[in-house]
Amino acid sequence: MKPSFISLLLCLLAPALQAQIDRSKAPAPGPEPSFNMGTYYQYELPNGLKVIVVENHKIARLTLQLYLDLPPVLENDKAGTAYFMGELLSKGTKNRPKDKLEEEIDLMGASFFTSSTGVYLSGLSRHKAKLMEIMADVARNPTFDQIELDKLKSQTLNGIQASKEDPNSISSNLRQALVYGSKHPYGELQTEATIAAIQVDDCKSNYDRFFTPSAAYLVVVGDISLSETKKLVETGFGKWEGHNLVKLPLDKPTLPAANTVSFAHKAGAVQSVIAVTYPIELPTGSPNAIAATVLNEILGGSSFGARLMQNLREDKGFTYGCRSSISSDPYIGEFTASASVRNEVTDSAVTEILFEMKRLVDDLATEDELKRVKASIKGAFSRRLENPQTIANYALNTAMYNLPKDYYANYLKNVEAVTLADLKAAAALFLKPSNAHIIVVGDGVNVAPSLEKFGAVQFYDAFAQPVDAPGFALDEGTTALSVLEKAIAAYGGKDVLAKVKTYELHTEATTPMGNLLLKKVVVVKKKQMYQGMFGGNNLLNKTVVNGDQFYSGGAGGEQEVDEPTKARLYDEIPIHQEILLIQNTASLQLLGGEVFNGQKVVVVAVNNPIGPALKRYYSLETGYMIAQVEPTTDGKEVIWTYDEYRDFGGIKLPTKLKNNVMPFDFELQSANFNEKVSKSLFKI
Amino acid sequence: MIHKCLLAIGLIISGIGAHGQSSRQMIEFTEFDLPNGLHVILHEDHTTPNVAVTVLYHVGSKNEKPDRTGFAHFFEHLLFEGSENIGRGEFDKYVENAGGTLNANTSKDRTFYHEVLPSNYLELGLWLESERMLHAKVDAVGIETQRKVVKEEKRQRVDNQPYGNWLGEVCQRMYRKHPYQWQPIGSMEHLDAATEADYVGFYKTYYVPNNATLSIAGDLDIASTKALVEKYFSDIPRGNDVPRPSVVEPALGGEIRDTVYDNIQLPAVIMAYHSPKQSTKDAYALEMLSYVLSRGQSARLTKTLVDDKQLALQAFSFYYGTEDPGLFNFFALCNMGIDPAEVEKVLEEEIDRLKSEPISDMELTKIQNIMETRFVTGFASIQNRAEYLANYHVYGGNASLINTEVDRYMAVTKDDIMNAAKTYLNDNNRVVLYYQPKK
Repeated sequence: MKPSFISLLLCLLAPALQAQIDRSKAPAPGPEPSFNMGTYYQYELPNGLKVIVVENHKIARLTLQLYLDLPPVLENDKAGTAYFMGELLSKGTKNRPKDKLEEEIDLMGASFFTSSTGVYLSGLSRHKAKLMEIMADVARNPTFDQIELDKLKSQTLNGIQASKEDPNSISSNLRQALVYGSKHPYGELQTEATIAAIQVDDCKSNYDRFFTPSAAYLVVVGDISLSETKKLVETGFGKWEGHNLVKLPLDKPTLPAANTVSFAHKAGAVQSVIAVTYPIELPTGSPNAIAATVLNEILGGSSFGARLMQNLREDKGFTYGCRSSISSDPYIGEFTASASVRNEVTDSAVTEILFEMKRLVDDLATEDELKRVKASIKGAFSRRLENPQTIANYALNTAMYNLPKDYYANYLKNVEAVTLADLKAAAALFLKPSNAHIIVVGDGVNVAPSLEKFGAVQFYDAFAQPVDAPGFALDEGTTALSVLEKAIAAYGGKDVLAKVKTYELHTEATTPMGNLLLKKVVVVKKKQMYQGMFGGNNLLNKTVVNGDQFYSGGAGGEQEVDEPTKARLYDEIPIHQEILLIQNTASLQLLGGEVFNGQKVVVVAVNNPIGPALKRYYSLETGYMIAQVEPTTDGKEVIWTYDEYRDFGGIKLPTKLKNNVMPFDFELQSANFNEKVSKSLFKI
Repeated sequence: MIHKCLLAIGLIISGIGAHGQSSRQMIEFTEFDLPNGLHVILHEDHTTPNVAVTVLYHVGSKNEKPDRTGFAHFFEHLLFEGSENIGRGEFDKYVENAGGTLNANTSKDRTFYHEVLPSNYLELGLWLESERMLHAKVDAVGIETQRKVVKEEKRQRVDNQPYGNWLGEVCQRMYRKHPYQWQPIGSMEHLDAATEADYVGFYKTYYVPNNATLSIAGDLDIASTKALVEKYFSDIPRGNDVPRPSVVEPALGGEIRDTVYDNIQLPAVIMAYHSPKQSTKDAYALEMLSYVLSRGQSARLTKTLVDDKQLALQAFSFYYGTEDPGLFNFFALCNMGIDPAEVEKVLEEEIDRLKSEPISDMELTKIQNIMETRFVTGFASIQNRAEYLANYHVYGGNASLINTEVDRYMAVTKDDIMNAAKTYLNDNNRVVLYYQPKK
């Protein structure tokens, strides 16, 4: 019957169109594939040059690398000498002037780099003879040309100038200088001064001293046979002569005693570049190194599942990426956790980084994490073998660091053997959330104050030199006058303040010797002012102004009031001095924006009859004067701060007054306006 | 069957018509379409026991609405948030627990997703990508988090970097009608305004098999992989025909000059010229032209501006190829105290030189060899192979270009280069920007 036949046919068809898969769970993997480590060949020339060869014919490329295993050396006031020596290697040889050298290399379509530790040349394998010959020529026959050095210096200075705005460069400079210190080669920075001091002879001496076959490895990778390699190496390097290198002892950088906060201000920063970092002892290939690698993968490795990524990116959205690294090094290693986060969450991001570090110190990691990380390390190991350069690098490391010959063959087995207890032990050694340099490059004005909770904030410039806290740009149109007018408005307004005919203020301080009371009574129009200081009920001293008459004295007798002091006393008559100051703008100077006690302030300098100008600090936010700084004759400063402004009948006055000389604080107890005042107070 | 491999296995095949004397190594592959329109490309490479599983969706920032810029890239982040069968945060976990890596990137023309997995996890990769294509799921928490992450990405890569937005500054002036005027990262305000309805619509329009290319390269077997692909992707319904913008950017008809103030120390000079779209004869000529100017230490701009006259710290040019007509750009960082006008003058002298005399034979050989090296070394990894097979299919209409595109470059003559300079590098077709320090 047709209908049922058709429907049967459709039933048969339908399952074929819908795949018979269960999408609800992930499919299981097939059997684990194995991979081959690949082989390399290594031999040594009589002159000490060690040659490593990895043949690979997948693509027609040949890569040559001459690598010098050199001890780090302090260069002090000529920091950068080795760097310039390395750069000069690419600027011509005795057989090939610079232009010719560059053209020959470009004509082959080859890539070419030189550095203080060697030469790199890579190109199509059909150029193998020429590539090897050029490599030998560059390595053995440098010309150290003054003109080229001058050009390089100029370029480097321009590069340094550009890097002053790059937050990552700044962060790297600070990290080097702070983690290693200036007495260790790793901590030295090139500066304009050190660059200026470097001469061509310095570069030549560096080359003569360090570029020697006994410290050198020639790594040959790619589309070439062993026999061809041997022939070309013999021709190029067989007659290269040298000497043995002496290794000098080095200082060991140490952990900071407590967390320190180092801040480099970058105007206009919308993110903070954070680095939490310190030195560690972790020689390459040492027994701890593998557990340290696994630990770092869990904390801040490249996967999205790492703790730092999960916390700071996936959970809190602070950042595009947060990673950590535990670096081994034959001399001194390093831990760094880093992230770029938006300004407002800088302190929270630091908190979370330290939290994740501490968590791995205090508690075991989970089996799931350990499993995932082991798979990740294994996967990366396998992927790396796609590039024949990897085998060469393994051979190089084995030779340089005296690793067991089967170190890399056993690597994954050793990774697999790491336990949660091993990780906790490694965390105790390498995670130091209480002994870290917390380095931040960002908005020093708005962000730095929030980091005080981790430690006192020290500011640095882009080259790790200590500097003062940064200022900030004021809005256009800001003048000393506008700042004072804003203050007057904040205090209650011109009209309200103008209505003050008389006032009386009582201010108290609690001292170890009993209570101090300051009483100030003023009749504005008559230029009458009484200021008395009482200890308990005893008058300790007083100052009186009565029109053009003055008195100052106390238990010790009367004191002369000189002309400058008289002028200063007149300044103190208005309830807020700004009322007077705005009438004489010539005596004012706008100094700029600063951060003071965690607040943005605008600083105005004011003429001071009795000495150097006073600096008055006005809160950008409220407009109130929050501090006054008075330089003294012995070069110090008396700083008064004014907090907790309160309303007294429409007029705002500060109720908490402190200064940096007396060890006790003053509190405004009462303020009365336009009440009858006893004339006898002002009798002189 | 997946089997053990020796590292040294190569795939050398003597090339016919290979340039110079190097043997041309052909990348062989199989390709086919599923009935729902999904294009599939498979390539065997047993160097290591890994596979690269990649999907290219033919949607990029040029497909966005002007008030929803940044959407394609934002969406790329959202596509990691899971599916009907994959919970939030699990997508990454599956790949990482297998020991693989994953990521994605968005350009003006396409969004590209990729995983590299041990080859015994091939099926996992197919399940993950098919889940994404069939029924990706995103919830409010994911949207909010990724919004923050993308904002930080913009700050980190663009806003907080010196000169970070230079290409954006160029494009918004060069393209007045075409969607290329905005950058894939988009605007923060538009990101804030995006709603659930927006992404559902975008997903249904663009994340469909008839708009996708599945490209897999590595330690696989063609026949069994084909079967697995059919198993996981056949049941995904074809979508509607995909709308593509048809805006034609009119000629600039003049020069635009402007100054941008940034947190920088060194001024910079940027010049951009309207150029033909990628894969055209003129595009190849322009790219070779850029090699004459700035590839290698002996290149013209490096020699003149950086080395001899010491006016610039860095100077380069490049052809920015896109599906619709693109740009040819110059970028030079001035040395301290150097006036950008001085640098611009030298750039123009170099352009005039290209127009008035053909390049030398030596220069032609040089750029051909540099280009050849790029092609010989550029497809060494399975990830690159998968990506370029997909790119060549989508943009060039033919995945075989992975083996033959190099010939198009080799066919460019000295006259082609001179004519390209005359046609495109003209004052009435450009934007000139000076970057200056603030204050």
